[in-house]
Amino acid sequence: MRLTLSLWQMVAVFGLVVSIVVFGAAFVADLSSERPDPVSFDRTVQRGITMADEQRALGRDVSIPRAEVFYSQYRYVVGYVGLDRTVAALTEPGHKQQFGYPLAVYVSDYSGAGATCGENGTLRASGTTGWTAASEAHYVVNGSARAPSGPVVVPFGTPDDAATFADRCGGRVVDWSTIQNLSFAEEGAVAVREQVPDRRATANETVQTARRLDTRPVSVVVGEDAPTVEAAIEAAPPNTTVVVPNGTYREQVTIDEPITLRGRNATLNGGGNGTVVTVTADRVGITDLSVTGVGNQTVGNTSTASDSAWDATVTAAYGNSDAAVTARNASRLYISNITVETPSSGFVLRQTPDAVVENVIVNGTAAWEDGFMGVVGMHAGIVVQHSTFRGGRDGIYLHRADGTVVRDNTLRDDRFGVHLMYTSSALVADNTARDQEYAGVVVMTNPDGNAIVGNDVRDAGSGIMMAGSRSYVGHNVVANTTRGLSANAGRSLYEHNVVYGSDIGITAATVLPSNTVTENDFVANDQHAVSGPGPLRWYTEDGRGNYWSGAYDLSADDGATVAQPYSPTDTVDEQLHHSDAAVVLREAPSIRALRALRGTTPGFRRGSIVDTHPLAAPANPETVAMLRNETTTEASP
Amino acid sequence: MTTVDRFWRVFAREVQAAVRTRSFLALTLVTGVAIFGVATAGGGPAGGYVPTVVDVLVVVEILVPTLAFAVGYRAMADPIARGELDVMETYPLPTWGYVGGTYAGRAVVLMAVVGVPLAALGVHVAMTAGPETSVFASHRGVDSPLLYLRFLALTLLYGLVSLSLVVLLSVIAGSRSRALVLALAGGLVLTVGGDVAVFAALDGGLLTSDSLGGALAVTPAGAYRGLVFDQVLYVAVPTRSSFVSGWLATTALVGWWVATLAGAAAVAHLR
Repeated sequence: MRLTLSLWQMVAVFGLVVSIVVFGAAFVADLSSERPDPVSFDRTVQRGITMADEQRALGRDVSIPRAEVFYSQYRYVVGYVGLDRTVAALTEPGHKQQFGYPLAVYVSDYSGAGATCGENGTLRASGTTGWTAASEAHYVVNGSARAPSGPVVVPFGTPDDAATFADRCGGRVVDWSTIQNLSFAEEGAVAVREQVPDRRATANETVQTARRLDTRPVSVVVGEDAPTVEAAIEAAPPNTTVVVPNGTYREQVTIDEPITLRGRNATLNGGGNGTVVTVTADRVGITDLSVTGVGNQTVGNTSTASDSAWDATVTAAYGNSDAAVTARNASRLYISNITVETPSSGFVLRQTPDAVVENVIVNGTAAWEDGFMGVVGMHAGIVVQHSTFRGGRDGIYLHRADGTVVRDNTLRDDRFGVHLMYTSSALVADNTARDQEYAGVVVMTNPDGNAIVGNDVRDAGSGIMMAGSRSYVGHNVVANTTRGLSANAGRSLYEHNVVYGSDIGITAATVLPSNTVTENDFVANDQHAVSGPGPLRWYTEDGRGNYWSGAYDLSADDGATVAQPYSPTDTVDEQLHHSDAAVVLREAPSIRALRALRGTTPGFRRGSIVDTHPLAAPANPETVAMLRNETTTEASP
Repeated sequence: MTTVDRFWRVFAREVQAAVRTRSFLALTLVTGVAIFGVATAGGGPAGGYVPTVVDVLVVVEILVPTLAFAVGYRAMADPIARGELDVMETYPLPTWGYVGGTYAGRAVVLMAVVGVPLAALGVHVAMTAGPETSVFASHRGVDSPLLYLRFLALTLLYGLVSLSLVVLLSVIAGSRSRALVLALAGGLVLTVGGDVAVFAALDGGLLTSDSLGGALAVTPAGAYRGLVFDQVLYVAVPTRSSFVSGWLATTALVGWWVATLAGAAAVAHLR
C-alpha cells in the first residue's frame, strides 16, 4: 500500500515538474528569431508587372530585380517584380494591419550575376541572380539602369559589386533603410478613375477627326462613272468619296488609297469566301453599307505566324479570320453605319491606331462556337461606339490594344460581350450586354489601368470579370448572372456598382487582398460574396462600406451606416437576407463572443470578407429601385 | 504518518472520488464539444494557433470560472456540513493540510476538465492548419504551437485561481445550499465584477490612461486576459505591445491564488 502510494506520488511530482518545465519553456522561448529561407520566385504570390510587360522583358532579355517578402500574418510568400513596387507596397497604409510585419525580405542578388546596363540602360544579367537579405544588401539607385516600366533599383550582396556597377552605369550606393525612405508612391486606381473624363474626351476628338472623312467630295459614282466598286475605288483620287448607289454588288474590294466608300442602300456581297473589304491605306472611310457573303474562316492557322513577336501565334490565330472589313497598318480608319451578316467576324483591325467604328450592326452566328468576333482590335487603340453586336463568339475582342475606348454598344447572345487581352489603359463604358454565355465584360492577362464604367450586364454567365491591376470598376449594373463581379484585378477600385439577383454577387479571387470595394449595392443575390484563397478582406474605406441587402442593425436608427459589421462570407450573416431567424442566432452570446476579437488576425483568416461599416441604405438608390421594380413587374402577370 | 502522507491521503481521496464520478467525465466531454464547436464555427483551427485562441478566448474566459465553480463549490462545504473538520481536530493533520489536499485534488480534476479539451484542440490545429493551396510557397508566419502552449498555461493558471476562490467561498458557506449561492455570486464577481469595477472607476475619473493597465492587471480576469494579449495575441497586433504589465498581472494572479487559498485555510481553522 505504501509502495503504490509512493509510486503515485512520484508520478504526481514528475507530472508537476514536467508541466512547469514545458509551460515555462513556452514563455522563455524567443519566437522572433526564426527567419524563413528564400523560395523559388515562381512559387510566390506575385504582384507588380503586367503580363504584356513581362513577355516583352522576356523577349528582350531584360532583367528586373525582384523581392520576396515573408509576412508575419500571411501564409504565402509574396513576390514583387521591381524594388520600387516592393517599397511602395511595404509602406502602403493599412498594409501592416492586413499582413502583419515583414518577417524576412529577400532581394535579387546581382553580385556575380554579370549585371550590365545595355542599350538605353536596359538592365541585363548574364548569369542567374540569387537571393540576399534586403537589410544586408547594397542598392544602386538613380543610375541609368532601366526596365520596361522605368528606372530600376539594383541590389547587390557585396558593396564592391555595387560600387563597380555604379561606376559603370551611374547612380549611388545606398542601404535598405535609405531605400525604404525613398518615395516610390504608385498612382492608384483612383488616378484611373480621374482619367475617365480625359479618356472620353480623347475618344471624342478621335471620333470628330474620323467623321471628317465622311465629308469628302464625291468623285466617282459606281454604275455611272465606273462599272464596279473596285474600279470606282481605283478611279477615285485621294481624299474623295466613292458613292455606291442602291443595289447589291457581288464583289470583294481592296482600298489602298485614302478615300471614303459610301453606300446608298447598297449591299456588298463577298460571295461567301474570304474577306469582303480589305483596307491597307491610312484615313479610309467606309460608311452606309450592308455587307453579306463573308467567308466562314474563323481561327487563323497559327503555323503561318511569320514574325518573331512573343504574341505572333495569337496574332495569327485571332487576326486572320474572314470579315466584312479587314484593315492592316492603317491609321485613322472610319467605319460607320455598316450592317454585317457574318458567319465569322465583322471587323478585323490590326495595327489601326485611332480607328473609329460606330453605328454598326454585326449579326453573327446563333451558336457562339460557330462564329467569331464582332470587332477584333489588335496592336493599337481604337474606338468602338454606338454599335450593336449579336451572336458570334465575342462582341469586341481586343489584343494589345492599349487605350481603346468601347462605349455605348449593345452586345447580345454571344460568349463574351467585351473581351480584353493584354490591353491596358482602356475604357469600357456605358455598354449594354445581355445573354452572354460566359460574361458581359471580361479582362484577362493582368493588364494595368483599365476603367470599366457604367455598363449594364444582365442575364449572363458572369457580369464583369476583372484581372490585372490598378483598374477602376465603377457605376456598373449587373443583374441575373451566375457570378456578378469577379474582383480578380488587384490594387483596384470597385465602387458604385449594383449587383442584383445573381447567384453570387462578388467573387474575391486575388490571393493577395489589395482592392478597395466600397459604395456598391449587393441586393437579392443568392450569396452576396464568396472569397477565394487568401486572408480576410476588408470591404470598407474611410468608414463607409457597401450596401448588402439583409445587413441589419438592432438599433434601427437612421444612421448612414449599420453599427454591426457584416460579413457576406459568414455562415450566419449570409442567411440574413434569406431568413429573419438568422437575426436571432446572430445575437446569441456565443456567436457574439466568437466575433468579438475576430478582426485581430486578418492575415491568418481563410477566405473571408468583412465590411465593418455596411451602408444602411443603397448607395445607388435609383438603380436598385429600378431593378426591384422590374423584377416585381416580371414576376406578376 | 507524516504530514505529507496525510495531505496525500486527502488529495488521493478527492481524485479517486472524482474518477468514480461519471458526471465529471460528462462535464469534460461537454466542455470539449463547446470549445471545439466555437473554434470550428470561427474557422480558427484552419488558420493556425493564434486565430484559434482569438476564436475561443472570450468563451474560455467565461467557461473557466464556471467550470471551477462546478468542480469546487462543494469541496469544503460538504465536509464541513458532515462535521469532518471537527473530526480533524483530533488528527495530527493541520487544517491547512486538509484544505490544501482537498484543493489539490479538485485542481487536478479542473485541470483535466479544462486542459484535456484545450490540448485536444491544439492537436486538432496542428493537424488541420495549413495553406489552402499548394500552388504557392507558404510559411507559418509568426504562428507557433508555443503560443498555444502559453495560452494553455495561462488558462490553467486562471483556472487554479478561480478554484482557490471557490474553495474559500465553500469554506465560508459551510453548507451545500449556501455554497451554491455564494459560488454563483463569486462567479459573477470574477467574470463581470472586476471589469465593471474598472470600467466604473474609469468612468468616474478614478483611473487615468496611465493607471488603467495596472488596475486591470489587479483583477483576476483582467490579468488573465491581459497576459493572453501580452504573451499570445501580441503577434497579431504588431503596432501595440504593452497591454498590461506582465509582472504585475502575473504577481496579481499568483497573489490572488495564494491569498484566497490562505484565506480558505484560515477560515477553516477558525471554524
